Amino acid sequence: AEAPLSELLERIAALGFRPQPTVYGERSLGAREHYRQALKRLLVAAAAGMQVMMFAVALYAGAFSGIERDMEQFFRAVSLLVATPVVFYSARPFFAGALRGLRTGRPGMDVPVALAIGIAYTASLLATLSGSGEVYFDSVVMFVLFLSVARFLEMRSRHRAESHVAALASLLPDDVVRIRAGVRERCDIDALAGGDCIAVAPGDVVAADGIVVDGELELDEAVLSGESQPVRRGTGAAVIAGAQNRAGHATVRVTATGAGTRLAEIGRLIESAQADRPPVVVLADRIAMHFVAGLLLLAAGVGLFWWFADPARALPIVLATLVVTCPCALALATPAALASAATRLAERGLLLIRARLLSVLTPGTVIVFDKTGTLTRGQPTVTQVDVVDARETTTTALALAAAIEDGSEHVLARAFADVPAAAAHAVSARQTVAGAGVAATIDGVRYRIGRADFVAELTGLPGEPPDDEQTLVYLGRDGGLVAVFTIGDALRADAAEALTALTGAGFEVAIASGDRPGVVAKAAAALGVEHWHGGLTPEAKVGFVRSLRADGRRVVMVGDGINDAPVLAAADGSVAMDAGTALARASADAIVPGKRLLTLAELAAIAAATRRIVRQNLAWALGYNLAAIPLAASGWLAPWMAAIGMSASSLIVVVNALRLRRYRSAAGTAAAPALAEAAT
Amino acid sequence: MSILYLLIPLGLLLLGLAVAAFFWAVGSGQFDDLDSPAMRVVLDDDRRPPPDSEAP
Repeated sequence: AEAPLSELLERIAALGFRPQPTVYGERSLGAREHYRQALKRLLVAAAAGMQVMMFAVALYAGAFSGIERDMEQFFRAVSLLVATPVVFYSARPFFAGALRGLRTGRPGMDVPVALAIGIAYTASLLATLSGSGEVYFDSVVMFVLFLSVARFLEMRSRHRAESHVAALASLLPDDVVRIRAGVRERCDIDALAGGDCIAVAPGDVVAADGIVVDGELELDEAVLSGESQPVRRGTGAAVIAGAQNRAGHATVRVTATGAGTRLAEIGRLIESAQADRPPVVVLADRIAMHFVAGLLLLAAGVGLFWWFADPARALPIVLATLVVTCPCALALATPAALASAATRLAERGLLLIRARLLSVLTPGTVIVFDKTGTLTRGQPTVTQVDVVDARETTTTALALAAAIEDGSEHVLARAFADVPAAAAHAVSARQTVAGAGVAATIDGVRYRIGRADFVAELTGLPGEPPDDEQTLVYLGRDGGLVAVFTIGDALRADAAEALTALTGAGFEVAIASGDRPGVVAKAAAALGVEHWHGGLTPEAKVGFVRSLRADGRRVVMVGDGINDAPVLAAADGSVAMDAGTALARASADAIVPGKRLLTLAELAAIAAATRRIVRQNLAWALGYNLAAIPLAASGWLAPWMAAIGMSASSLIVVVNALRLRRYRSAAGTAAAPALAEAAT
Repeated sequence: MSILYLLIPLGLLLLGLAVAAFFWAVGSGQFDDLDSPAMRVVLDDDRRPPPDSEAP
């Protein structure tokens, strides 16, 4: 049986959520509207707050040293005028939340808040109209403002978690060249259907999953494999959406588009991993419910008691109780510390996107590293030169190779790009053979560089089988072989140091890579890592992370490249080393644009400091609340004192959090750059 | 002190104008993205322009 969508939406709304049907790729619109509204409400509360405070000063001064009746009425009237939009517009979410909570039988923090605001405003309104009694407009507005700020910060961090779908959609081009009946036409990517043929040119991003019908492509499939080496796809080979075409033309018959592509599948993996709510949050919600019920009972009890004891004081005392028990400082305790930590981290070269990362980096957590692009530079470099011809040296061999490969689009040619003095050779008759190498003439001598068999055709020597563990580039000339270059992906300079620092801080380090096991073993040995896995597909990596979590371990994933995105989302926390892949950016909890691994050690230290400060803040906030309740209930606190006390305690919490801005860890020695310098 | 009867409503009027201006700014998307303009300075766009002619 199928249920109509409207019925589903109604049920969801009745539970207290706001359902929003969206189109794939457009999730962010609803969030944006929500954000804008919240911003407007916040501003109204802030602007009104400033005015009301001013008027309140006048009224308090008047209460001490005398004020004319008319003037007093005037100030009360303008306070009412300014406070009204705050109560009916800025505080709307609290009232709505309170009603929802009462309707569904699960009262949340909104109920006492709404009660306090409502009671205070009504009492002040009546007092103003009747010209007698106390007004509490300043307390009301301050109250609303503070809570709105806390909620706003909370909402912002939640929304950042939902922006990845937009990033995914932005990878693909907006339009493609479709071939219909031999005619090439530009069409929208959404108009593509299965069976259509599209043309892919050098520099294009493949728009849909498909099969090559005619031609050959050299694709950078970082989308799937995260590898820096491009793959050749000839006739009959499958290609995936999101792959970048480095060289070659081809016609591709589309097999899957839009939501059906591999890329979209990866996006869904991310979504399901992110929807995983930690049990701590669920528990906190349940506790909050009981806390609220207790709070309301307390306020009612206090009100009842004073109604009989001294009715005139009943209202201010109940107000003071409600205001004082509102856990403002408690609500700010964590966000304030996290905000400071994020600023400090940004100064040290790490962009913190989601704060959950800080609470996950506890000693004993497993930090899983991807290899390519994370522990290694992600760029091919010449790691070894074996000179065969005795007449040449390493330097001259490199110079020859660089001269021949100069200007070549091939990825492996980049390894020679840094070689100096390549201009010394005059190269002529350069000819590139796709997939084999480059042939050229230097000073009248014919040279060939590339695969063993390609070079062997010139030198006459037998070709060697390709080595599974390393990439070898041969350089030969008419007389014979000149040199063999080993092209590898060099480890980052600070990799070893960073890993040692992390293990020293109590973390366990592991490597999970899609690269060939032989290569991964070498890297692990060089870094002193015991637990490593090679040859993993993205799904296998996710499985590895999940199995660790099933064992009860906490996992933090450090990677880059789009194929790591589902793994990043499946872990308890994640860091993306590469700022360039939009999807990794969107699904990671933090980015290190400078790709400096030592920053991770600093991150761990700052995370520990943040946890400490949060604990201090929570202890203070709780202590304050507990101490203030008896004071308020017994009539010692006037509502304005309660409001000031609430603000002061929040201020203390924030100032304590600011200490994080000056945090200096042992790992953060002079070498750490600011973000601006780290863009290398 | 009776000048306050004029000045305060005047002040509130100006405040109202400011709030209206802010509402317009929010509505036209000025505050939508406060983070990425700052980040953009630092991020690299390493994509090289596509080659004009294909290799033989």
